[in-house]
Amino acid sequence: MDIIISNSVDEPIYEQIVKQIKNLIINGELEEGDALPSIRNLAKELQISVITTKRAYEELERDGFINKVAGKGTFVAPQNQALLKERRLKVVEEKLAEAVNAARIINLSLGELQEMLKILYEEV
Amino acid sequence: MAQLIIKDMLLQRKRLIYFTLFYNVFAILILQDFFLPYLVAGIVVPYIMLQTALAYEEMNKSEIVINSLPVRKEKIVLARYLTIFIYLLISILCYSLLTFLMNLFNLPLAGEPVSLAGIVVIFVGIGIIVSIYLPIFFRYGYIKGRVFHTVFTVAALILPTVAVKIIGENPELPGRFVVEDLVGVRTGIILLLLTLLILTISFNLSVWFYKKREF
Amino acid sequence: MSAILEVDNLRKEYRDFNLNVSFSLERGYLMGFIGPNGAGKSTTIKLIMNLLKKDSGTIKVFGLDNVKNEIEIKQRIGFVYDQNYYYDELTVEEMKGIISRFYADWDDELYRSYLKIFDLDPRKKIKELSKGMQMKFSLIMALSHHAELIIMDEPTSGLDPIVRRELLQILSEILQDENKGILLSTHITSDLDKIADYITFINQGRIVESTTRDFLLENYGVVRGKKELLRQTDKGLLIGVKENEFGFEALVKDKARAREIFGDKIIIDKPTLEDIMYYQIDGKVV
Repeated sequence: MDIIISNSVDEPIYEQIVKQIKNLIINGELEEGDALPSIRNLAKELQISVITTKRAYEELERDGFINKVAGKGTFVAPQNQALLKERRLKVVEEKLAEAVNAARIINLSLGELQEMLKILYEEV
Repeated sequence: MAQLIIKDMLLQRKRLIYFTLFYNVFAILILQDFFLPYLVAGIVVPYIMLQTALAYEEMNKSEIVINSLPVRKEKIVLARYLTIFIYLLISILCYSLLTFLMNLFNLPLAGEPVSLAGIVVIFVGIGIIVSIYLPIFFRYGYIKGRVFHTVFTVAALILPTVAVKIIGENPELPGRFVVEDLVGVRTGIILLLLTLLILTISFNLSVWFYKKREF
Repeated sequence: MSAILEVDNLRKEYRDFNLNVSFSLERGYLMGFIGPNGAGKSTTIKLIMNLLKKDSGTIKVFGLDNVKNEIEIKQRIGFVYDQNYYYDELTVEEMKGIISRFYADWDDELYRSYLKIFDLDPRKKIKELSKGMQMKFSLIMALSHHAELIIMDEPTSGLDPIVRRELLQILSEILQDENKGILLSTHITSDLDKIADYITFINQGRIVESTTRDFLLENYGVVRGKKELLRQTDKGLLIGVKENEFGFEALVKDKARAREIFGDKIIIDKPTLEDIMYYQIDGKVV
């Protein structure tokens, strides 16, 4: 599980953590029931305050992404599958929008774009 | 508390052995004509050892650590008092050993063996000195305590000289200061008890001062 | 009652210096106690350890009064001071022999494991150790009796950056136990950038701020802009204003507000703890 934080970005560190863990769950890299590091362990590894990690976990728990089990640790919560799929769809949509914009800049036509998509789909 | 006493011994082990030996030998060889060597050694050795111990503590500033440990001030103070009497014991033992060896090899320099009366005298002597000095040390610290040390050292140099002069001017007094004549058993016990009383008062005073000390 | 340390209206008066502080620390966290030299950090720590006598106020450690229950408290405190005050003529092992006997919970196995971790030869005399090793020795003494509260007074002064980082790593490890607390005073604030949970900032005997490090970093900012902007500011917004030939710089406690007032005309940077300390020491508030 990779979590990379930056000190020089404006975004508060706890938010960076929340975002990254959310993405890991949405992408499926973290699945239901997977164990998350303890807040202290995470704080130590990232060299940040345990208050920050605590805050991040609290928000993730509030939003239903993770569950704290007393005495056992913190785990990825069962995700509402429909919601998850919707979120994943949204990620695809966002990336496609990006591609469309990039294509427009160099005046690529819709047809050429679709060709590219077809080739990539088969290759990757 | 035993640790604190051991600590003192540990810190001074070399100095303790060498100085005790040196001074007892010195006393036997040089001072014998005027004073019972073990009497002088019995006062000088513990006192000097105390001073060096305190000097080292001061230099190291280790009182900060000692007072940060979970140990009562009473024990810290008690350890100081007891250590002095242990030095005293060591000095007497050293002297006895030397005397024994000298007699064994039939050296003419051997001094008188240690007598009970003599021990009482030293005990009283060191007891009183310490009863005055230690409360000053615990109240004001080592550096200000040096004032007492200076006064005492000066007195320690002057008094014997004066005593020698008196003996010189009064030849009917024995050439050596014979202790047994002066100190009978009853007087001895009274002196001992008195000294213990003074030491107890001194101890309580020291504890009271030390509890107020700031580091 | 999870506060491991509570200082309430603690006062001590000297001829030319006056201390009056209140703050508290909960278990499981590290509090950085920062301030310039002479601000009162050491004085406060010595008062907690009862090395100095307070004039008034209360100090509670583990919920107990620090004077009435002094011995009991000290059994559970590990201390590391700014210099080596241990007997430098003794070897590490000899010194440990003396210290260990005062602590009921001394753990010799733990001590030996720390010796290995720090690569400290117990046969060496304390005076033969480098400054960094001496501090590590102090730390080992502080940690080998399962202390719950670790108090450190400028433990890193005089140490090279590598040793400092090592120390911070170790402190991180200790904090994995959420029952422990650490109070670390320092004027080298960069040490705390990676590890402090709470920051208490003291200056001239008074607490300027006592809060989470996150709060400070998220709300404070270093503002830079043209000098003419100084006229249109909110009162009290800009702290420690410094003007130079080309503009001004200052600290703000509420950077959102600063953004509101000045809009795009200023640059707001993330502050370091040193910035937060530095701008507030001068005191020029606009």
